[in-house]
Amino acid sequence: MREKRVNSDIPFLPQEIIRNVLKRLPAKTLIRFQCVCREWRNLFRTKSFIADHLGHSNNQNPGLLFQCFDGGDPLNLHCLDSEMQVWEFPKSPLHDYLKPDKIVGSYNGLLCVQINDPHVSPHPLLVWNPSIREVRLVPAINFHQDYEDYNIGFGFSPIINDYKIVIACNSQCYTEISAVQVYSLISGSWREVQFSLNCTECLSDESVTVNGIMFWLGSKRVGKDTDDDEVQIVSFDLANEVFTSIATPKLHLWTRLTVYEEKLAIVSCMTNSELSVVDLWVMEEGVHTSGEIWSWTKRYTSNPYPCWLYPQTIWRNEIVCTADIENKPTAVLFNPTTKRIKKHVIMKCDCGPDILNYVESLVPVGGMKSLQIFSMASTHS
Amino acid sequence: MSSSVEAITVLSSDGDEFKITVSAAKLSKPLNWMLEDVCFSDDCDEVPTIEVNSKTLVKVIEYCEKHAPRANSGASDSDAEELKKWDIEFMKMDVKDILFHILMAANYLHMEGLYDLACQTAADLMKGMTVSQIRKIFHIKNDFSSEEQEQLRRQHPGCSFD
Repeated sequence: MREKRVNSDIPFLPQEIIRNVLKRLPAKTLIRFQCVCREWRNLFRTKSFIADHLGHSNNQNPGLLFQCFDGGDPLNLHCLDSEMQVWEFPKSPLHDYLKPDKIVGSYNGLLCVQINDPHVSPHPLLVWNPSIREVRLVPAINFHQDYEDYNIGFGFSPIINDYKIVIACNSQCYTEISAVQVYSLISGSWREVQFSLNCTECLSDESVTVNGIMFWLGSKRVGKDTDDDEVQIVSFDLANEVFTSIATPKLHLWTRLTVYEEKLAIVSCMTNSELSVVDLWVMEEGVHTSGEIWSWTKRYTSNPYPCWLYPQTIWRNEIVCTADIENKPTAVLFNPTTKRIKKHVIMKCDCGPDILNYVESLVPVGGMKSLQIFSMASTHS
Repeated sequence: MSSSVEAITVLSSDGDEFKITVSAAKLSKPLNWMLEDVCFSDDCDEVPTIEVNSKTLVKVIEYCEKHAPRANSGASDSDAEELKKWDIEFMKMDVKDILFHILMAANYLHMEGLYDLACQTAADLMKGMTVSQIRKIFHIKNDFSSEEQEQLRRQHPGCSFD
């Protein structure tokens, strides 16, 4: 046998391997590693690397964002990461400068934030990527009148590779959608869109976007009484900007739209004598015998759980509900596959937090204005 | 290839001989191709060389032998759990010493599982490193001009070039 040659030198790794390692790092670490060299800084700004990194983060490190509305502190955010660690979201200079009020949408690491400005309705918005510390102010919308009541959706369409904000305004006299405006991150401007559904609609606060289609739970007025309202889903294709309505299966009182296996899903809860049952419905696309393009499949029904449950979202293939257990706000996670149920006490938040899916990303908010605003803000802090 | 062959002999780039069982070698596409090659018939004594040094090849073979039973027959949840724990122990190695060699070997041998594991281990180690430590292990020089450094500092207050 030949004499062994011990090679302790570190080999030069090929570009392909380095990329595969780097895409696994958290966005904030990559921001730090921008300072390594020009090549790395440039790499972290290329579309293909940003997409690879996002794809990996979405699969491996999806987080949950808890938004608390008590204590008078605006934008009180905590994040739960995939290792079940809770960390306080870093306060950004945004807080001192722009008075952010509420996260109204979260997609691919971008947050759509509403700013507290009592003089403007709808309130001004901004798009924020906390990981790369970029902010973009969204210009004000010119509606013909003031709308007190409106719904905001924020999502992404892979077809047009663009992020859009959708505002659907209800007229003051009654909950009827009377004006819709859409903002595109690429064009940087608002555009009016016709609400093409020929019926009275009222949308839920939260929207969900799956494969470029934005969905809301909506109600359709069929009788004189609100008790007669029929639940249906209103969808909006972000690419061609067309509304459609979709019938839902029979749902319980507490219902949320969410995403399961990259399909639109509904989590619905019913509580009876302090016992709650959670249902999971998944929408399948394709033409069915009934002639409908969509159909609903019930994928899971939980055993009765001994407290009131409020459905929130699906995270890492588990249904997340919030509950108040022994006076502690708690997240209860139901796994539709293993049927296991887990409990996690969530950070103190008196009124129960809003829960959003969140992933760290390098996705830029676009537009150079953002950087200027940011540096102004940072000198103020 | 004769079905009586249960293990094959390969040479490392340092010229050392290593034995690897046929089922373990199947974890690597190039090794699998070699298996189908005539060289492994009983009447051929030519030993193929794998362009991986001995120290690294020992680890690669150790990984293959551990993972082969599962890869060939499927595994229960408890097996998968046990294997995960084994992977973590297996990867407790010094980055300066051998991890990058394993990365190169796993890539060259088309071993998806090991490549993924080694990439993740490298990423986890890097999280705790400073910028200058990163430059050292990747053989990179700081090529920013002072203007560029200033610009990055403005965008990301507190970022460090050391």
